[in-house]
Amino acid sequence: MLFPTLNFGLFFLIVFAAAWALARFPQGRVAFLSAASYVFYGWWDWRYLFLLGGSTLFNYLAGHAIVRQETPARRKLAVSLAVAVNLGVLAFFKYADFTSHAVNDTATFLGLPVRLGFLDMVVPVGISFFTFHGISYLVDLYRGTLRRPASLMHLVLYISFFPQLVAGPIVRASHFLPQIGERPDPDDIRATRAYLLIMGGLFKKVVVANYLATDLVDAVFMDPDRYGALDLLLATYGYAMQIYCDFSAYTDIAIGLAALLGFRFPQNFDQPYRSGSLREFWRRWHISLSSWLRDYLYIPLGGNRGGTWKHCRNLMITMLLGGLWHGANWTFVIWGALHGGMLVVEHLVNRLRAITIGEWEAPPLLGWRRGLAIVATFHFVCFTWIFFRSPTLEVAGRFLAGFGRWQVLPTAATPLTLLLIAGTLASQFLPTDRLARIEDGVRRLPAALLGPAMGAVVGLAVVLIQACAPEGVAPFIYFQF
Amino acid sequence: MNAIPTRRLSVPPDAAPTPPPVRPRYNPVEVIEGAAPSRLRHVALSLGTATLVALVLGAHPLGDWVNGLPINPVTDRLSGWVQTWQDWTDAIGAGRLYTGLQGLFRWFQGLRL
Repeated sequence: MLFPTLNFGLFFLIVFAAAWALARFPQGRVAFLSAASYVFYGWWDWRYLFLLGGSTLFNYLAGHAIVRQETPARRKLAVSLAVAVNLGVLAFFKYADFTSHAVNDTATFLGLPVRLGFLDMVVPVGISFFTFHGISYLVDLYRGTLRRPASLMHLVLYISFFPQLVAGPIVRASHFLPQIGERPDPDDIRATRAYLLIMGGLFKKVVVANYLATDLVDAVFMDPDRYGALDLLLATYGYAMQIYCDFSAYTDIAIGLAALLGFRFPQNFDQPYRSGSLREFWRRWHISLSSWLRDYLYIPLGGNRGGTWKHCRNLMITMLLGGLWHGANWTFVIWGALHGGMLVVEHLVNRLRAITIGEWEAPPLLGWRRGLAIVATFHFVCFTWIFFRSPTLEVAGRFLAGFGRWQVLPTAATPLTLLLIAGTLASQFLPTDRLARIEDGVRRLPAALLGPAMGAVVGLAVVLIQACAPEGVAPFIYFQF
Repeated sequence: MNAIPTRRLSVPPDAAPTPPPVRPRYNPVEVIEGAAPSRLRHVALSLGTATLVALVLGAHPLGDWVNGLPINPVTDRLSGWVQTWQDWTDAIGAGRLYTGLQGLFRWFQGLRL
């Protein structure tokens, strides 16, 4: 069930009404929201409900096993085994065929008579996200961030809660489980902000991301040899805006829906293309994943301890695995390696600057230097998106080779796609308190008119967005990860 | 203002201050932090109004949705109701906003450089 569909609209209205009707019965409310989440997930393919349920049950039992261990060493062993099982399941579904390909190619190269078979499996929607939620639960329990294991029903809701189930944001167990235990306050629903997020998300997905994909990006990336350098450049910018709008739309809608049901989700995007460095970019892009990787991968690897070499190694490993997480394809590995490599370069340059002035951290760039840094960071990120979007390394190579064809006139861009690219880019530099400002304006209305007025605007916005929508709605890009 | 203060380090690089170790920390920013609260009855009223406005102005996509449902006696009857509703919204002119905007957008989409 996709968010921008009438099916989901009806589903959500029923869930909203029933969840608030059950607000006085916490256990009933949790059970109902869990059941609704399973319906939402089973809408794609009911068979994967067993995977979701099995993963939850395993993590529930593993959580109890971890806290029962009496010595730190045994607790560490228990959490390591449990995390390994989670990652093993994820790896099986995502990387079994990729591994077979790699082994077969290597064997052919070495002349060895090895041939592994292929499973040709469809990767279950959202498997990465519910696996990450499971790992977050186990590690938070091990670290003591969670004081005691969750009840089975609470854990079921934490792992399956439908707004974040298939594409995030990744909500930490220590952040969400306490919310499940609280009684929701019917006088404290952040509805205006939620509506703004949902409307903005619908517009970004249904209009911006869909049209950039269908009218520009898909055609150019499918056959880059047909296009000149200017078209390739516009398609690269177009994809940068498309993936931002697509993914941030999903998480904005998820945050808004959760808010209407009385839950708080973390911010996942913060105008990432205004970043003045790659380090800053990763603090603004898919924040819940980058902070997850920092806390559950980079820091356990040693983080920035142990000197410059180990710090750089840990950065590279984190970004390579972060790249590979996106899918079983060398293009994602290259994408991760480029980000990791540039983070290492940035770290070394900053370290040098810091040493020069005798501080442990270099001061931030200001003024025109920051402007240049923003332009450079944006173009580096766009360059890496070429690998991310290309179906194979060979296509990425042809795409890059096309930047030599400057004499070919552009044919792919249209006024609509140019407007969408420019508008999205401009939105990155809007004031950070823009939502609060709009909200302040809305709330000047008399209290009695506020509900109907907000509703009328939301209804009108939905119709206007639908009127501009292309035929059908493409799935969100991050569903495949 | 923009200049980055630089000076020669008077100590060997090994003696330069080192960054403190990064530790797990999780204090996420919440987008709804600081947002104004609403009461449930206001939210319910706004969702009801939104649904009504969408039904009146968006009868055409509603028809498309019903026509995409599996065919059975229930959806047949639903289709009839939606058709009647669509005719009524067309008669009062409410459907023109949708079709007019859709036409305008398609025209703009069709423009070439």
